[in-house]
Amino acid sequence: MQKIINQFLVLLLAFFLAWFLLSQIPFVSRDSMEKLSKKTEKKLGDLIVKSLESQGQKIYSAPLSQILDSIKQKICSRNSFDSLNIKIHVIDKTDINAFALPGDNLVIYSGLINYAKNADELAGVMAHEIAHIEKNHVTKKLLKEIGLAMLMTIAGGDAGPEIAKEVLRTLSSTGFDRKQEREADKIAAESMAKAGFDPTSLANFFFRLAQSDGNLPAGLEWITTHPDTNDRAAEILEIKKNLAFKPEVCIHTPWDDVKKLLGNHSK
Amino acid sequence: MVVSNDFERERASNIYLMSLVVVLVGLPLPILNLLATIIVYFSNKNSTFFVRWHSTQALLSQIFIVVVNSVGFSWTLSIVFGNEVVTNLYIGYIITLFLFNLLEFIATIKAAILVRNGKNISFWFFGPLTDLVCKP
Repeated sequence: MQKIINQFLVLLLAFFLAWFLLSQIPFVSRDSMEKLSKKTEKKLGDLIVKSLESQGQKIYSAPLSQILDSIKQKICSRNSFDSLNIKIHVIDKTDINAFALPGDNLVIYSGLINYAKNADELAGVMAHEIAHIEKNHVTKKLLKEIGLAMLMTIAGGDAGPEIAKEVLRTLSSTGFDRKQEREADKIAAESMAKAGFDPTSLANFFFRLAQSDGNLPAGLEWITTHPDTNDRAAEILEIKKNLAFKPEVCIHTPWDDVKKLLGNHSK
Repeated sequence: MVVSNDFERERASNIYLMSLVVVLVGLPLPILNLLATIIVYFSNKNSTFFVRWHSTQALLSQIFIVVVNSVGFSWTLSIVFGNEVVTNLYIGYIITLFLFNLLEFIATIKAAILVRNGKNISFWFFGPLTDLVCKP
């Protein structure tokens, strides 16, 4: 019996030793596969933002930026997120959509701001997208769908603007996987509560999207990239039950006035 | 080891050849290995000790490989369809998996030939383990 145990241990040892030694060979650079370097991410993000700006749809409104920044600031600072340098870009598009870009960029379409019923709903969507940035979901998704070689080419400036647009299309019109979406929902609900925003607002936003599903308004992008909205809204309400939440007023401008700030730019 | 006649040698040798084929099929779908070897094992359950001993050794060695391959298979699935990414740890595991499958492959060919010629072969660890579980 002792012989069998000894031989089994030797077999296991041989297996794990071979695995350990082979794992030491740098087949792939850890940095490049799990996370693009900050510099590459920033370069990639800048290129995509530039592509967005070149389409002449970016809204430059100082009061609006101030409001969005204060929401972002509150979410990040209260949750010790390493995303204080997140840049928010508001794009004049009627689609109800928001998405994160590499290099800590967050894009919000004016259609989504118009669709939100209050600041807390918008804060919910922002917290959700910030969670994707925090968890590095954006880079992971790009590495998976576009590939490292292509990303390096784009960041190196060797690719044409069409490819940057393709990356933008991937990020704006395809969702993350289910596990990542639920992880982002959970983080969003928790970070909202800590920042004094009501997580119920994010659930309400999901419920309204789910209800619109049957009678889908044109350009309702966020629901196509964020499926199972009903279930997820219910999960957010479940999470909220265990959260200590004290409502705080983050912005003092009435919500309708915030929407009016889009007015001069929205179609 | 007991003495065997020609029929038994052929039958025991075929068991190894069978597991050789399923190793190839079973690389992408590891459960096939185990299923095939379990079927062979049970179909030889009432056979002579010589045949039973070799079918048991083939089964036990397959179980080890199935565990190794299943981990590799699910890891690969989680990369292709899930959230995982290719790392050095993963590539190291896949190479180790192929090395162990190759070892199993070579050992199985050797076993098939030796057993066919009436010689006995006892694998490292699996041979003594078979002695323990397979009684005359």
